[in-house]
Amino acid sequence: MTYEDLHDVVLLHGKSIYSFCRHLTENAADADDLYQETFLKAAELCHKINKSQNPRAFLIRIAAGLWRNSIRKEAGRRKILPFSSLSDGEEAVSPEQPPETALLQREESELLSLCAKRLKPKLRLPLYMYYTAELSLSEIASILHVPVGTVKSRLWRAKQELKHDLEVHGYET
Amino acid sequence: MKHKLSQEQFEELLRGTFAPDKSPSPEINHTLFTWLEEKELYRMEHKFVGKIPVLAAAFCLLLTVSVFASWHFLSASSVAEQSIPELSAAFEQEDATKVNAVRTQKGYIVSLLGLTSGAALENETDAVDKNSTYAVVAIGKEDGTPMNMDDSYFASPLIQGLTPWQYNIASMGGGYSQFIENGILYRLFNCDDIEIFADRKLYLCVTDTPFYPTEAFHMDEATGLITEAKDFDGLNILFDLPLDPAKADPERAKQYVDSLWNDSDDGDEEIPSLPEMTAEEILKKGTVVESSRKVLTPDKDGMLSYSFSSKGSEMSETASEEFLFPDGAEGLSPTFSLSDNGAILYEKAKDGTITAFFVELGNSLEAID
Repeated sequence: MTYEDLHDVVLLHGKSIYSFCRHLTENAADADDLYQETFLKAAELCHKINKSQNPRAFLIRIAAGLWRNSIRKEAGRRKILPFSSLSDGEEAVSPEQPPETALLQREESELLSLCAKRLKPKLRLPLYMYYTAELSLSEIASILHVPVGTVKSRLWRAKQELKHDLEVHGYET
Repeated sequence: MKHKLSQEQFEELLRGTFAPDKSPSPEINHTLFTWLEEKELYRMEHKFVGKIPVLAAAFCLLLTVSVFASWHFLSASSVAEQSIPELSAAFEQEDATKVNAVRTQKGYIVSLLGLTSGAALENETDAVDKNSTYAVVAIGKEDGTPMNMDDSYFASPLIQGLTPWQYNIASMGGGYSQFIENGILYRLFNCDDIEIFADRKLYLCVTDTPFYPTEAFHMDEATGLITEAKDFDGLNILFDLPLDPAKADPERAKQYVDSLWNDSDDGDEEIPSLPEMTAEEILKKGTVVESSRKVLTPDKDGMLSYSFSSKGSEMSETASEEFLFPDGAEGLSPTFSLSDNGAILYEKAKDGTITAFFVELGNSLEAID
């Protein structure tokens, strides 16, 4: 893959990769940094990327690696994210829905998003890889160097913990 | 009262909450594109680290304290000698700006060693662009820890009154080469001639980030003056560049600023860009490989997988139906995957069946006009 190909990856998969970075880092400024660092690293490694395979999975692998390194460095000085900073005013639901439905769904999404941030990284990563980066179970397994069955069980555990958290907040699942 | 969520609603909530719906800002992507283009054209890495003999490296570590105590750096000319030897003489010219400013911040020691113009060379050479400004910085660690070539640093001129994230080395035709000697990283970099801005306050910024970090510096909108952000979590040093105001050329400077973000001077040639392509155009221009058609069945997680081998390369994609057909409408999916010689397209029939197939384009970009 060449730098020009990487340019195309930005266009084709930039949104998916940025969304993944955004969920991981919990704020826009860090997401910007992680997104740019991911492509910088990809540029260094682009000769190893086969564009006929899945460059998006390769970029997600890089982003996840950089993020894991950063949380190792920051361990111990992270603070719990305040509720109010969760959405940064972004709409998580369709504007075509009735306002009350939209509001409820937004609240649910914010709650779920907050709960996800409290998951352990090993449960959070496959969750975001699956739902945000839209990678297959086998692609996630390859990135995390674990069997597909382990990915499935981590996703299942992540969902169970999220369900439990929702129940604590008054939802019945 | 408890809100009830069925399994389907929970799954829908998961997909909605974690959907890839956040786009990077156009500024970030523009910076990336510019950087990738510049990297393709200019970047020259000289990794001398591996060439330092083990014994010399150990000796260097032992003598770290005294090395830093005397603030000894190579000269700008010596750095140029190792990267672009033809440029070395330019840093020795009377005209060259010998700064030798040293700053320490957040565990780093950074020195701006010198600045010159490619035009300062008496003899023209292909290796040096006479319309470029060249500068040398040295970056080291205060505790003597050797610098690492894998770490990213950003060094760039900034100009009073020009928004730093828009006008920096990435957009101003920049490039660099660097090497490490005695644990200190030396970077020689160039960008379009900044002497034309010499009637303004000019700066050189150095950060420990791969790109220009928007939070590292502030520009006063009224005065255009740029300052270091006190609360920036990282290296964010700003040196003043003492250029002779007599070298300013406000008219050329204005033309340059106007042209930098105006792509209309590139001629009449239309270069197709990927966002302008549509699945319909690909279908119209290419040839459908009938043997590649496959009806996709969602797996138990609702994901659709497709793979196809063409001319020795295997292509595979996995995506959810919601991703491919966000509005649920039948017909061609607006989402497709490009490869060297074609594209994978997705089509939804009236009965909801989703088919994927490969369209040969030969040279995919040339085929789309």
